[in-house]
Amino acid sequence: MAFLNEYMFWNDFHFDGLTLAYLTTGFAMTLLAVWNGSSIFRGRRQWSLFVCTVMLFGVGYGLAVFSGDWKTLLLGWEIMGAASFLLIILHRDFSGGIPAKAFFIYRMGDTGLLLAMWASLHPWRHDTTIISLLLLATASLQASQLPFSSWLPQALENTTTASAVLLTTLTMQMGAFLLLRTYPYWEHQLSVRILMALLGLVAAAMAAGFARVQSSVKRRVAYVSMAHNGLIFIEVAAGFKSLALIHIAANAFLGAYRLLVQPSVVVSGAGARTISNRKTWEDRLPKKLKYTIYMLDTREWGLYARFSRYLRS
Amino acid sequence: MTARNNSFDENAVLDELRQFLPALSTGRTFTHRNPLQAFQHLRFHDALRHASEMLGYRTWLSLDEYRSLYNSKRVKPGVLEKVLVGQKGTARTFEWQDKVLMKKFPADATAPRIGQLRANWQKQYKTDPDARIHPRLFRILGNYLDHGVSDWKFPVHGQGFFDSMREMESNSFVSVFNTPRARNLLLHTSPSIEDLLTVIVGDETLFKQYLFDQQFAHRGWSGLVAWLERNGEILPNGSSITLYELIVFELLLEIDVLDDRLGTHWEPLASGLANRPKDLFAPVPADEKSEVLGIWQEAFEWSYYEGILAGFSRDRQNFTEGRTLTRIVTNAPDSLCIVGRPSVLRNLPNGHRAFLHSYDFAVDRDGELLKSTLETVIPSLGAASLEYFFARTAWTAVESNAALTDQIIGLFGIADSVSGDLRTGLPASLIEDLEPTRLLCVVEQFPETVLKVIDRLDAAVARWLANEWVHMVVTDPASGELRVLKNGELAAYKSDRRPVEDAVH
Repeated sequence: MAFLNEYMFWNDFHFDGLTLAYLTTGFAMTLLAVWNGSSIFRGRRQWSLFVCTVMLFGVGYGLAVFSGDWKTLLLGWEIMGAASFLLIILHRDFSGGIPAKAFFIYRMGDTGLLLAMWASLHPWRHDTTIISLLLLATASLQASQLPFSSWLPQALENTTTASAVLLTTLTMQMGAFLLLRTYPYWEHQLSVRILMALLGLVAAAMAAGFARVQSSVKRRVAYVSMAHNGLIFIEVAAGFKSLALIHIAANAFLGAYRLLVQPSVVVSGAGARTISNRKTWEDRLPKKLKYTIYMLDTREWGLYARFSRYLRS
Repeated sequence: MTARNNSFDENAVLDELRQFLPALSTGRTFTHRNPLQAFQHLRFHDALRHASEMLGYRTWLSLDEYRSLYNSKRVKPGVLEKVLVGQKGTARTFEWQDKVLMKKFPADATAPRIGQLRANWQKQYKTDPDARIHPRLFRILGNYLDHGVSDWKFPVHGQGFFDSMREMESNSFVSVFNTPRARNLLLHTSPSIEDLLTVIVGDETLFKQYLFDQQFAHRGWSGLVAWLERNGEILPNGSSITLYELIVFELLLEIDVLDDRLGTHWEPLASGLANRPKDLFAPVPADEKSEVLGIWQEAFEWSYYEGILAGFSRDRQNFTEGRTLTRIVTNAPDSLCIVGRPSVLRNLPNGHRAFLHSYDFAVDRDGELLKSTLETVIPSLGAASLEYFFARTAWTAVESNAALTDQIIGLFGIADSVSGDLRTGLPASLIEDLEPTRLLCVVEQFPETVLKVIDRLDAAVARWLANEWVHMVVTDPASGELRVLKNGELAAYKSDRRPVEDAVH
């Protein structure tokens, strides 16, 4: 494969366990998304747009998953990125123009991949640290990890459930795919692996905190998924590739389940009160610490406010 | 609506605000309430005009929608003509017909009055406090009111909202505010709304309008809080919240955001006000467009009622024999109510649903029974039909797109993803195919008795009829004649259905 052996640059497609895992997950999730989409877009003019976008997404995803070299990967990645953006906005009324600013923020990450590709072909390609760092940056942006942590909750908040399924279970988890696929590049670099694990750890802790205090169902799903991807980053960094793949598939199904089977708005009355007052482990913390963490998580470390203004428009 | 007072009376303003805010409850069990309750002292079409101009509500269908209903014969030409003659007189019918059918009106040239005072933050200070306050406020409110989404519930239990926030604030290393002034006001004082408005607005005569502007920027959340307060609802964690607490907290957030944006020394809003915004509560003069829309609505409703009433009028046998009746079947679930013997229901044309209140005119000579029946039926069914009515008029294609991204907040409400406010009114799926009509109440009793009963009705219920928030038709049990209640009198109802016209179909 080209990632391993640059003499085989002609080898465009590649199939292995990683491909298989992502392919089956992707297939299942796309079916679920179309099934859900058919119920929400039925009879609306967006239905055909939705079907086309999902197909485009599938093409991009397939290309990326099957890719055996940089060119194919980048092509698939770009198609998938554009399709993901269309999924976010396809329910909107385009009379006001397509929000270009949001598009660039969402797609900023591809520069990293492009640079990594360029660097790998450059004379100093043997300095794999730069390539690895660029790959890590791209992967962490795609997986909504630190330091670019806010796109997923924002996107989920502003899109339909069908699109949300694809974004949470597939688009976002392509970050981990990129890391697994380029494993040979950073395999022997301890510093990159430590950095990866650290990023994952901090993101997991942060997102788990946000998820615990979240009262909005969709944002909670986004943060739960982010937290799991943080853990997946740690697993990938530690070299547990199979464990990571199982985790990725499990996270995809869990996310899809939580999005598709949303709780109903409760009927006020006696039943509503029984949910309450369950003690959580946080209640054992000293008051001052407890309130501080709660307030930090509620304000989402101030990350949310800054980003939201651009993406809402 | 009262005239603007010079002295700001906090409680009076809050009471009025509660009247205006939409009733939004947690969960699905709710009693119906007229969404325009605050305007119910006005005649129906005047109220619609006021609500639309003051609060920016869409209270009619759009002119294009009415015209396309006319083209598809949902609005019958004959009925439209009758309404025009009735409202404008024979002499001006032709002139108004032209306006109703043809005239182009500028598309919503005037912005509603609500929000105009607070828009001055943007004009004068180039800052929009809501963009920074709303996400933070909704997040905190969502967590505070949560009924079971989050794993970690709001950590302070059993207190009011303001006390809970103070408790949090005094025991946390991280503040909910970004600047010290608002934090100190929360921790060390118990500020009144008036104190805070003095800092923010300055001019006492603008306080009330400012509060309305502020609360109507998120009427869903405010409506929910007002509902929780009115019903003495205790939240799952044993806490409670009042509209007063919400307003004070939001004002503190405003001070915080403005301090953060403009430094600690900024002049209150009123000091730099170039010209005062239009008084929110001043009467709205009638204009041509609202009259045209009113005429359309009447014509639309009576086209629908006609199909029903045709079944009741005895003389229909004269011309309906052997022909299919063309009638309009709407999807208005609660728009027909019959007070009479069950046998009356047999006159109801197929395809209609009605609420039947079994009532025998013969055993109720003085109308006592009718009085109590009307006093229960009119407010409850009337409010229900108006809820559907205004949910439908507010609904547009844009809304239905937005509804795709609705998200559940705290198991108590559905948030609109565009503004973050809670969605008011009924869910889109219930109203998409609906056609807005007011309640038609058909009473089987002698007209003289009904008039006497109406005189004796409870004042609040009588207002529903007097201001035409519901329609009433009386069917005379002896002659089978129909009479329509109009301006306190029962006028004979003449069906517009001419045999010639029917034969066409």
